[in-house]
Amino acid sequence: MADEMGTLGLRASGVGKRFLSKGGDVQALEGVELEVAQGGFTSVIGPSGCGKSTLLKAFSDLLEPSTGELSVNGKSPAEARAAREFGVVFQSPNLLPWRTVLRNVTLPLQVMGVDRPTRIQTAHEMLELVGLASFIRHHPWQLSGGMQQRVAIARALSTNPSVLLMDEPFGALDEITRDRLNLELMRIWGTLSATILFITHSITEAVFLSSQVAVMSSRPGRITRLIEVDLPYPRNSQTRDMPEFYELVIEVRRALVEASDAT
Amino acid sequence: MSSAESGPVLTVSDEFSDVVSPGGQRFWSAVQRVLIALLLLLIAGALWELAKLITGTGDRTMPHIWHTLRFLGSTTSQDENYTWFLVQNVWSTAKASLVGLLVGTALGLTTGVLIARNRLFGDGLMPLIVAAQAVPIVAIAPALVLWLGTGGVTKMVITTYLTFFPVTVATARGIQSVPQESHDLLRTYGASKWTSLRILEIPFAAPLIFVGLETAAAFSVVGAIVAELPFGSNEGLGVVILTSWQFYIVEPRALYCVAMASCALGAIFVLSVRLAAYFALGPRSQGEVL
Amino acid sequence: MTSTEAVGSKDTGPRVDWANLPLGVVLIPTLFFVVLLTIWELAVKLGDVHVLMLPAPSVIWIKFIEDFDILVDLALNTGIESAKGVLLGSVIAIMLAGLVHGIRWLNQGLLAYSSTVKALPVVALYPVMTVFFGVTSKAVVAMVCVGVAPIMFTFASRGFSGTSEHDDLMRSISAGWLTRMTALVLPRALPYVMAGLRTAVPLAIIIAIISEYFGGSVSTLGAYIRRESTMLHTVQVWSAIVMACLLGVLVFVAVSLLDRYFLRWHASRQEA
Repeated sequence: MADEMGTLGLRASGVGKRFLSKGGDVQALEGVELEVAQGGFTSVIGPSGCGKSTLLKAFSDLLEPSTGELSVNGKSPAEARAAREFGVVFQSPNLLPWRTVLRNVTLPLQVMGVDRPTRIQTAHEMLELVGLASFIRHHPWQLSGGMQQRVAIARALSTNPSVLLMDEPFGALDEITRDRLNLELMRIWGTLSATILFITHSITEAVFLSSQVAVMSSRPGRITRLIEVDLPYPRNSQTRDMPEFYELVIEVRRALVEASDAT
Repeated sequence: MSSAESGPVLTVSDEFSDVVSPGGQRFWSAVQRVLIALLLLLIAGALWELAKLITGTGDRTMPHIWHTLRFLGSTTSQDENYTWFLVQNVWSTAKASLVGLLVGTALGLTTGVLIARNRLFGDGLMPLIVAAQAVPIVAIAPALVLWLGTGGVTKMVITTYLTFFPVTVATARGIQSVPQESHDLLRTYGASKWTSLRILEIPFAAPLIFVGLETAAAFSVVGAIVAELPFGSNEGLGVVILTSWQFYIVEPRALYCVAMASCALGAIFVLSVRLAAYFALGPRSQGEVL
Repeated sequence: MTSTEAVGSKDTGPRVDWANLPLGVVLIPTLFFVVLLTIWELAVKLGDVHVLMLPAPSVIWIKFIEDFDILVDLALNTGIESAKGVLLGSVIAIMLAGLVHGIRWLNQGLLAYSSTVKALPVVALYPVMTVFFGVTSKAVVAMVCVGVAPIMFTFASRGFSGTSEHDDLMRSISAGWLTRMTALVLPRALPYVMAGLRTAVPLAIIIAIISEYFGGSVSTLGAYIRRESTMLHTVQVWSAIVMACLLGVLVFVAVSLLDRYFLRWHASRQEA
């Protein structure tokens, strides 16, 4: 693999992460190799505790890897963060309860020092995009879990990032809401040109959303297989009816079993 | 949802949990609570009279309620209305309490933030602060007077001392309980420490801080009264309490009146803080105002 | 590819924390305390502060050791008064909480009062106590009782108000009132009562000392402080303060131990 640090998209090369603790050291990641082409959608799937979140945190500059290199749009995670090139969506929406929906979405822009009219304008657009335009004056507790997560997505998109890092964003929701939000995400993604790294532990979700599924083993976390998903875009409610879909699900499942056997 | 379309359907869900009760309902429940509070006062009065009846205690020890209330209308040796006399002293004490409360709060907030943010500072200082709360004020007060003399400064130091600790502890604990994920979130936006404090930590800790403020408010009144004792000043509730106590044999009702006035002042301070919390926090305030 | 031992500066994972070690928890505050004392000592020495105004820690310590026996005796008396008051106040509060917990409006009303009157001005109410009990130990006990009762009521009320599937269990086996009380209601309320005690007991010491200051039995800490301060014996006052602190700490530790002993079974004790 040629080393092209000028490539856009996401890249992890030989990434390892070791945590020191009283109870003994934990090797969370080791030798992780991953590449997400620009504009691509890659899911990372693996058993709980395999280090998926650690990898995402490394990309979003919340962690420093012990070894290896990461690049986001050709820059280091720290540089990318400074340049506001990525947005992050966590598993819990993490909305500030004392702010309205609108003000939650304007939060990143406020921190960046963007002027008020522009902030509000952008927030309106983002909320429109996720379909919550009529809820701008509401408070988080007045919204359901799925709606809160949509606000979190709008907030992540407000800085117009070219990369979106999502850590099991729909993990806390029921399956029906999850399916609906998957469709939503596909629609939203269709209007942007973002590169997305998506962590999940739902096989069907991974196959439905991505163009590439990275299967991860645990302890230490390592990408064991990369499965290309060449189902046609845009993905919709009929995608799930296609036989190829289920073949891919089976393939991913097998890879997962292999990965967990390997530990 | 759609069936034949090729693209995903834009669904705006109307799952909308109605948690906020309409304004009118909240007003009525507040009125209810006030009525219950008054009712309880009446019951307490009735129990007092009942106890008096049963034990046959004389009027010297347990004056009748209505006698005590009537006393409020009598005139003092200075030819003033007694109630007016009480009010003036209450006001004097209240002023001192307020100053102490404000200073103590300012110091407490600052210290609390420092403790919560700086690991070393916090681990070292917090146990000391929690321990210092156990020192009774009347032990410190004489020592303070011996050191700083009798005057406004001592009064302020005493009230500030009492209000400082609850506010510090509440602020520190509140900020320490901000979940790591929220910090991470602000980190990804590159927020500075000051921004993070303003936008995240203080609003998050606000409910807890207000609880600490309630305690501080009550303590500030206690502190002001304590500071007015013999070596303090010549006006204020502390002074009135002592003189009423000394002259109890002559006029028992005065003591009860001033005791009630003191409790009332404390309650007013606490309720004011609660009211402030209600307006500042909205539905996030702990429990209701009353 | 093997990994090295490098630790990133932006770790959010577990790391070796000298502050987490049990020794660390005691060491750092102690260090801070020592630093504070040193500053105090130096300030007095260098500023040539008169001993009657603010004595140096070293002087206080000497006096403390000298008068240790006397102080312990005083502290014991204060402690006993507080204990009586706490016991009385808790029993009354718990019984009251049990009685009214079925009557919603009464319960809410009393709770509202308890939380508003959270810091009764002891200074104002103690004189009233002496009216009934004379300027004696009994008045102090009564004051502690009155001061502690609202807190215990609040906690006990919370302890009685929880319901769980255990209530259904009791009903399904047709358990009688006594069984329900002893097997379910009281044990379930115990953690809350213990939590209330943790707050109430140190508070009781403070209330007791304040009351004693205004008059009560002569051989108590509060009375001692009063006497010594009127005689301008600053050093004695401060050594009494030290003893009062020790008493507060001792009492707090005692309650914590009690808490640990009685609630071994409680979920919060289990390590997941």
